[in-house]
Amino acid sequence: MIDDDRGQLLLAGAIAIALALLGLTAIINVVVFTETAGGQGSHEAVLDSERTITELERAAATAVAAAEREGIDYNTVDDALDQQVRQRTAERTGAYVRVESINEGMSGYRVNEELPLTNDTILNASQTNEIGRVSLTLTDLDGSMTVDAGEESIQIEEASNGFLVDGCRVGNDTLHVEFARGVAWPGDCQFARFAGATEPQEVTLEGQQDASGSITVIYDGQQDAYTGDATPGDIAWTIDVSYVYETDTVTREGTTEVPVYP
Amino acid sequence: MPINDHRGQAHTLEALIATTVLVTAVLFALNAVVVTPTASGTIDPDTQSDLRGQFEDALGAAEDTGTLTHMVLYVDNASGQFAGDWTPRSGYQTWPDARFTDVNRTLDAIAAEEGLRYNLAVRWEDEASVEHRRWLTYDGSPGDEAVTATETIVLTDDMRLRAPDGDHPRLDETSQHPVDDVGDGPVYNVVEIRVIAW
Repeated sequence: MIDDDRGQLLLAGAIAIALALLGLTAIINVVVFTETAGGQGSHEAVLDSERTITELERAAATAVAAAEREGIDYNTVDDALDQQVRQRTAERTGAYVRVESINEGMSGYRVNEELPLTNDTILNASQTNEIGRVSLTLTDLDGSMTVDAGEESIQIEEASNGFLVDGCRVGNDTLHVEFARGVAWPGDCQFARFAGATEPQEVTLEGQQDASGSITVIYDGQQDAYTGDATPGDIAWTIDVSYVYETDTVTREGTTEVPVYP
Repeated sequence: MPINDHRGQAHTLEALIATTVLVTAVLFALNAVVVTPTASGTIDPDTQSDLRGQFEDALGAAEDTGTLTHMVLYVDNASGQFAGDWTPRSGYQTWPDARFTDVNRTLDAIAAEEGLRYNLAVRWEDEASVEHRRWLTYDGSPGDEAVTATETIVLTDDMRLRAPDGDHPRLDETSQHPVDDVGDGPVYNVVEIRVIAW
């Protein structure tokens, strides 16, 4: 009987030790999971800040470009943007975001010419590094015209009640073409984008003598590269956006150089 | 006496083991109840985080080429509503042009990987800070643990309506666009494009 009881005790003891080990394993597992979950939360918070700041930079570039088109001092943009972005971000993420300032970085220039031009070539960009944007608005066209930016060219033809852009029917009375984004509207046509040139480059409009409308080109570099008739205007090619981003777990403060015409 | 001592210890240990087994069983059962909702249609936190990132990347890439702005500007100046096959209740039944189709093909692909449905909305606030929303696509009422991803875009006064037909006035020259002009200077409004997937 003594041996039987001892055997039962040993068995029960062994089971107790096994259960204790299992419990310990479960506790370690929970600790590891908690650490992982906690780490993921902070990783998410950093990603959130990255996304919000990227959105802020894009918003600033859009607003500054609009201010320059409108001839408004873009230093007034930061107040309007600050208020709007702060509100939206707070609602969405709980983060406090403030646009401290928007200042001009590198400069470029813009030309806006009415069609028809006296000279088909509106840029001989020997001193220009990059074309930021080429926008064409057509109200009338007899026959066809070609906008050539070196590596890419787009043909525009008149059509009944509209235009054909590289064979795509678009527009009605007025056609808008954004060459840097490869889109034309009203309606929808997409084509190869005029990517920013890294080499000296010309923009030539063949057949534009029979067109009515205007073309706007934005350049990086020196104004004396421009060979057209219009008077170039200075623009901010890049802006320096200063911001503050704060949440419970992430605080970021800094200044980023943002291209206005990417 | 030694016999009784051993038996007493054994009974004590057995009682402890029995208690531990019972408590473990109860805890395990409770844990299973907590896990059950995840297994019945909601999305676990890791997947939620991944999905959110994928949707936000897709929206950001779309706006890199101005496509989200294009979608918001795709309004008929005569009706003051989104142009094409659009209704306030269901959004677009068919996408009106290739730029819409491209964005939604990408969103479809992300959602399809997890077998999810999604809604796509435009949200903004008026001058009194009242929030407004229009569905670009509406596929039903989201579940409790829906994933949301957003992209904020700036509308400026000189942007023009882009519906294929009719007039194409600047935003600050028409009262027909549903988004209100609340911004000072060149800023018209800041709107949010939101994906809600579940």
